[in-house]
Amino acid sequence: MENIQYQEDDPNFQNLNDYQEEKEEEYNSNDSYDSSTSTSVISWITWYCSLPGHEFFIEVPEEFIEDEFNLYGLRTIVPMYEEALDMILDLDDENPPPSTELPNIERSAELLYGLIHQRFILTKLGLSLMKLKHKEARFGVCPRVYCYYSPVLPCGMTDIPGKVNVKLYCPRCGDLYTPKLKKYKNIDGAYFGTTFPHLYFLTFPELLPKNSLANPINNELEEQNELQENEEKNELQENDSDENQDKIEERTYDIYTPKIFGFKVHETSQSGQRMKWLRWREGYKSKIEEIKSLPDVYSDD
Amino acid sequence: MEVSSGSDYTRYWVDYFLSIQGHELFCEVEESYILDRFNLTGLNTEVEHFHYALQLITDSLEEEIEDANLRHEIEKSAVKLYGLIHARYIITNRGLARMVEKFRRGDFGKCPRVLCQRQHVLPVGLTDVPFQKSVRLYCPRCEDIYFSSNKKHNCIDGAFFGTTFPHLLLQVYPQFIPIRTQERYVPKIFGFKIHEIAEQHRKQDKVYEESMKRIEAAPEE
Ligand SMILES: [Zn+2]
Ligand SMILES: [Zn+2]
Repeated sequence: MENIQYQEDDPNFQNLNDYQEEKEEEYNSNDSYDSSTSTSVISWITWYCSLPGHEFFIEVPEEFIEDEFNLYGLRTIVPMYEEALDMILDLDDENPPPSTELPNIERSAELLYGLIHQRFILTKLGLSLMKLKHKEARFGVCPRVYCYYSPVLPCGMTDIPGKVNVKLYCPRCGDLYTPKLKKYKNIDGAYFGTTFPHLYFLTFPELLPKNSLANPINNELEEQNELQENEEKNELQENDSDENQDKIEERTYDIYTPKIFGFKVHETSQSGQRMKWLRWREGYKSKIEEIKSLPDVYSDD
Repeated sequence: MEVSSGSDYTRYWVDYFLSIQGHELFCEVEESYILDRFNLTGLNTEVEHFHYALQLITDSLEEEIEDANLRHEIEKSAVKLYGLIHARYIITNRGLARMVEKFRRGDFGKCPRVLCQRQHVLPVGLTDVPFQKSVRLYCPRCEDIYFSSNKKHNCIDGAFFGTTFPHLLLQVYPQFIPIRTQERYVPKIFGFKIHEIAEQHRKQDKVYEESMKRIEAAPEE
């Protein structure tokens, strides 16, 4: 039998999986290009960040690591601290440790680099380097359908290493997700930390998607903007339709409504909606149905 | 079409179809269901080459199709026909029973939301019209829909599962409705809550409380 292939007329068909993988392929091919043109041996940091599964890491500049102040307190957490630090900085020891110690040193170097990374990505430079990756959706996009491929950021659930693997924070729904690719399963979330994505959006508020949890919908402002835009449109005439499409998409905010044969499952039934609050936000108006059932308790503040 | 009915034999086409990677979302539709014309009402106008397609999925294609183009068309129609029959079948009692078994086994995957703790999900369509949107996954714990992490699922039609299926399943099998909690992720910067988000959370809590009041006030069924 011939292998059946059918195409789907889905505007969202260029989906997140392909997108992420494409980006990764691009990234990897760039990598190999770089390494083939450079004549010198790559540094430990460059090597470490190019390993499969390490795509979320950025390269911490050596100057940052060389500054003792930035490493404050790590000596007590990381075993074989000196050896690990030398490994990260590619410093050759005059009396190299016995090769049997190498696996332990490697493990320590990984831990030390991860903890330095956790600190570095909270600095101005670190944040802006992460921004380059975020803007290209290198960390992937939110798996939630109604987040419309919102790019996510790596996030830890604890700052203590060795506890929980890395998660992804979506600024649009304000929730945490498990990365879909298995290779991220063993990446320690502490190497990104609990603070990073939130400090990131505090630093770059313009990158918060509209209708996101920290940037709720302001209907009045929206209407004003729309009026203004319409006026501008009339003046300009030749408008970029793609760009308009993006703007509409950006404004859309939807909550999924379970339906049986087209009818909303009644709230009071056992299988009725109980989690609407989770995705609810101020100013939310469904395009499909006005939620008249919402209590009017917010007007009195 | 009295060919090969009732006897004990392999279902070549259906077995093949179910063996395709990504098709683990589908269940096997009983042959007796497919052969009951009553269940296929209206599909003859919706599916091109309906009769050939039906013969193909029941392994009873009588004539050899010479024309490669036509054969290809028929194969496409067979997928559509099986998909649309599947969408009807899985909301029958017997279909729901098969699907609930797959749900229990986790054949459909798990919710990507961290706080859902690997809750098993159910396939769902965003529309009942075929060839509009690919299949999505519904999580009964957070009551939201997600893209599948399996790339193969992105070319499976959502209408082959339909918009009703997961919700009817949970209504028929309420024992599979997970406990839904008020747990949520709280973003923090150096241990401190973020003002704007905390405010939204407070308002979400009010929405929750109001809905619980309405539910409690509702008369018992
Ligand atoms: Zn999201
Ligand atoms: Zn969930």
